[in-house]
Amino acid sequence: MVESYVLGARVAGRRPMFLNSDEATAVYGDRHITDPDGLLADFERQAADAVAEGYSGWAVVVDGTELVTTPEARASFARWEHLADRMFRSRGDIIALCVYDAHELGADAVAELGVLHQETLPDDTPFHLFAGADGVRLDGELDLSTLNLLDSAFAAVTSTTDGDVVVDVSQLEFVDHRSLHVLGRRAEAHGQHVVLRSARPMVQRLIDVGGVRHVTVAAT
Amino acid sequence: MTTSTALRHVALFYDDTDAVVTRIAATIEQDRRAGAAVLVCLPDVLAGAVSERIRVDDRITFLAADDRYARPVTAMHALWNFANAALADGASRVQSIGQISFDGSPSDDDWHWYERAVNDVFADVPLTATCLFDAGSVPPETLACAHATHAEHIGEGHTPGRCDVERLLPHPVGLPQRAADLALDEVTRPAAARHALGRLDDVLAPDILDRARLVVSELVTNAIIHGGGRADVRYWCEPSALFIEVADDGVGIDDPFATLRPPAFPVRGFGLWASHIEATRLHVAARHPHGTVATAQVAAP
Repeated sequence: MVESYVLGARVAGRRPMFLNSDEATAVYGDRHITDPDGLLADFERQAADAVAEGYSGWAVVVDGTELVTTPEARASFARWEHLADRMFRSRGDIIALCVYDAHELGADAVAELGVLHQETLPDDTPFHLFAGADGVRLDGELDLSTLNLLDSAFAAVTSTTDGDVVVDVSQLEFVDHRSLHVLGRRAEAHGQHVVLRSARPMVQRLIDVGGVRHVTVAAT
Repeated sequence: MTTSTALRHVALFYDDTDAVVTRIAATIEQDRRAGAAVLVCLPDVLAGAVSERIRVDDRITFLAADDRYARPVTAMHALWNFANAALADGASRVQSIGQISFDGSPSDDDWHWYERAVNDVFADVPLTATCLFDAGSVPPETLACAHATHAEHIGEGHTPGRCDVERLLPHPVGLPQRAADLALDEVTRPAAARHALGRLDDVLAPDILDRARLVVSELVTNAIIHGGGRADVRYWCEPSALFIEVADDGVGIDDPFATLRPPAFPVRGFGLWASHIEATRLHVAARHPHGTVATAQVAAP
């Protein structure tokens, strides 16, 4: 799968870079992203160099397994993922494929990592929370079974966002009042508000009926 | 003398519109002086006449008696929210003045059940709920039930008939008399019940499907949490409505007002409440030999 991805990047004219687990640890820092700003700047340089050399962009393939073996490391990594995702999104010439050893990490960790990415293979992730055009985008389905997953995923968003958190929910197929409460409580803890964009009419009713605080629906 | 923290549920029988408008206007002015907040939900003609007789300020709220929202659950929702907000805002009491349109249809049963639920839900709330009954047009059996569901009565000359209060329960959701279009046995995840609705994507309007997803998701969630961990789900698809049945074999619900009881903080009972708000009709009953069967109709508004 990784090979075909690298090949795909080449075909698309991007210069690929592959970091195996040891190399990723060396680049990112041992179990903790010690310098996210420096790393972002380095990625931007890599992309700029690739473009200067005639490539259409830069593609990075990272085996991140060793970076996310503990809950603390995953929380730190999730914040990094959101920062990087936003930078990638704003540039448009970087694509990234994160590879994780599901056998080593276990199902819970894999689920936590899966929801941070716009797409996952295999595609069995209940929802996706990633950088959008303005703020973040939340796709998929949220219910009783995803409350803990949503809480940890959204914590990485609130802690990397200054001010109100704009969430595009145009591709959110289902949400219940419990999940809206989770978003509101996370935002409240950071003194923020959640602003939902392109919400279905029912979302406003769930906010009203559920007494959800710190979450508002943006007028369309 | 009634204590100020208890409910007063008053039936006001009238046959003279001018007289009742005068009476209501006087009541509102009296409530205002006593520091009460007043909610008025009357047909346009009555509401208009009352508003001309009183000073309208922010202590008085007029709610349109909008047909789309004229259901027991939405009436309860409005009254509950108004009372809580007014009391939190420092009102000494809350006065609600309303008139339900009893018309002899099966929905009359739902509204009598609502009146019973008000007695239970607001028992310890400083609320005076004054319900108007047009004695000239309301059927005699409705007047008898109104007598039975209200502790206080105003208005002379009406001889109440007999009414068995305990039997005032909502009428069931009339499921189509045929085999279900979709049957799912022993569902253990709400998502499984929602995803099955995808098969009806091209048959039902998006709004109905959205609301149906919420309704079935919450009913299955309740079955998982309270009803033994699994539910049997049935769908019937009609041209402009979806019918849903969710049955479990758990301990059952022993509360005739379960679907009309506003949820309390911290988060409890919101699921059933939200599904009742989204459904056009929702009915919960005991299942034999044990368990609960919830039936719902989700139709275009």
